[in-house]
Amino acid sequence: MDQDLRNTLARASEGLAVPEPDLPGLLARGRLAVRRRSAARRRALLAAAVIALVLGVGAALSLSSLRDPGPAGGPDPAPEPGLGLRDLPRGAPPTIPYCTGADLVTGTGAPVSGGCQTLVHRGGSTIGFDDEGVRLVDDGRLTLLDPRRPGPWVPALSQDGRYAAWITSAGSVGRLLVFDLVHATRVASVELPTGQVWVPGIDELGRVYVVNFENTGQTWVFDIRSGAMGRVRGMPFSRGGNATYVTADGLALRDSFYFDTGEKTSTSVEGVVTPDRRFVSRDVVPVGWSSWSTDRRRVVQETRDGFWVQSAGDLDHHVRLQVPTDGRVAASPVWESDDTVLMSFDPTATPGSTVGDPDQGFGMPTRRTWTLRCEADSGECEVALGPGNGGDVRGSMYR
Amino acid sequence: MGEDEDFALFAAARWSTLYRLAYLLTGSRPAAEDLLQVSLETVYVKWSRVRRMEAPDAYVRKVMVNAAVAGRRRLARRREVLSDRTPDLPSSSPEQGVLDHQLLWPLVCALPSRQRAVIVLRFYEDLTEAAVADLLGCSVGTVKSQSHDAVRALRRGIAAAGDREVVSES
Repeated sequence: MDQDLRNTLARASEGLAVPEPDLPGLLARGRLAVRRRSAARRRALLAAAVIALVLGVGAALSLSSLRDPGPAGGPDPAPEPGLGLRDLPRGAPPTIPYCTGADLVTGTGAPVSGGCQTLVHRGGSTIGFDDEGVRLVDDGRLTLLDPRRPGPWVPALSQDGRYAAWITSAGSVGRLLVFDLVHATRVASVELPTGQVWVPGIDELGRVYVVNFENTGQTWVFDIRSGAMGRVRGMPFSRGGNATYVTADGLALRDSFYFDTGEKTSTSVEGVVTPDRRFVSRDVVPVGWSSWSTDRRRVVQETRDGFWVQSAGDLDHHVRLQVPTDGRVAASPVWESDDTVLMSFDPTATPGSTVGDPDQGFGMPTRRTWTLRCEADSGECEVALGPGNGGDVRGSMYR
Repeated sequence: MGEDEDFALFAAARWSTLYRLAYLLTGSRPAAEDLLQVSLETVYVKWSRVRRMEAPDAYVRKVMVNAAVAGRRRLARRREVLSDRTPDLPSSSPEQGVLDHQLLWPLVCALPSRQRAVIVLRFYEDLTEAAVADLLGCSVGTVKSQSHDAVRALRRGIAAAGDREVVSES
């Protein structure tokens, strides 16, 4: 096996066409990263200075200092003091299943010993998965749905929590699995022509979308009620197979990403999938990768300015979630209810560590992760679970 | 030479080698390009220090490998998606052994990111277990168990390919 692996990896590497580097773009993004890091450091230093003042260094703020904010329109205005994790009030634990150490709290029943795993929650249903398979998480118990690890993306849940769908891969063959979570039964197992696919979601017409990673032009739709599966025609190409979310009757594809364009938010092309499986573009909206509340009134997404909650009826109206600045959000936000969002937060991470800085440490192990709860109306946040809890709660992508 | 020019020369000279490593770590061309760009941007932020290191290439590799291993969480935030695309490989020749390499590569791609990183570092970069442990920031025992689990999963995949389900319910 050792020599076979060496040969296989060497051949995979040698046969590769290497793209040309975009050095000007690389330098531009690097300079931007430097500026962002400097801004974060200034906020941290100012927060430390404020704390020192409060602790009784002896100086008192004078009115003259308050009257002199600096030159108007200056290139480097003083940033606001950063909000720290320790500044947040302590709230109740999550009302959806969560991990406490290695155990899984599923509801009013006793915790499931050793049951902590990656969780997906939507519409009142929760499933968990690890290398040993996918399970339905119910009050006090786990029910094995399938013994294979889903991959390469997390399972998707329907809006009402009734169905779950995901891909398993064996070699170059992919298989779509669909489960009825009310009865914990499998309703479909469909072999796919390729293993390079994922399930971004299930719309409210009961249709499961299967999208090719590298080319959204290859998208299939599986109708749960009829059991029919077919290719969606007219899908625009989106590099990287980035379907950003599923709507009530179709899906949205990434149009631009703020990381590439310098804009504050990403944008998506929304479209309807007709009964005869044609994609019809509808609109370009200022929403990228996101998670929608189960009542579809709001959406939460990350922007250049942090995490926003936007109203579905007026996407220009947004509330900024007051996430602490002494760390980073470690996983996708998940809607605990239609009014609150849960997020895993790592207080030891920095802007540099989010792109893999070995000096800061990697993997953000669970023992360092806190779970925050943020109110969608006010943006205010509190601590729902202290460090070592929360597992790896992820959010589905829905409208 | 200014720091920017120095960095650009460094990145250009190592781009091909690093891209190939990124591809093996991610199993996907778009993901490899994303990983490489993000890693080099990290290096750029610290370039004034990195350029004075004894082994800047080793630092870049460490950044990239750890970014790939942490990739699912970080990429979950960014909602980028990895691919296990099967490259076009020529049919295996007898002198390379009896194992079908077109089967083995997709199985490697399907491994969890940390196991895949261990396999790539051990059998492509030819690093020792101790060197891999140092790079990943874990113990040698963890590297051994990750490698063992990965090989076991690969063997399972090879065996499963022999009796694959083909019935569709649609």
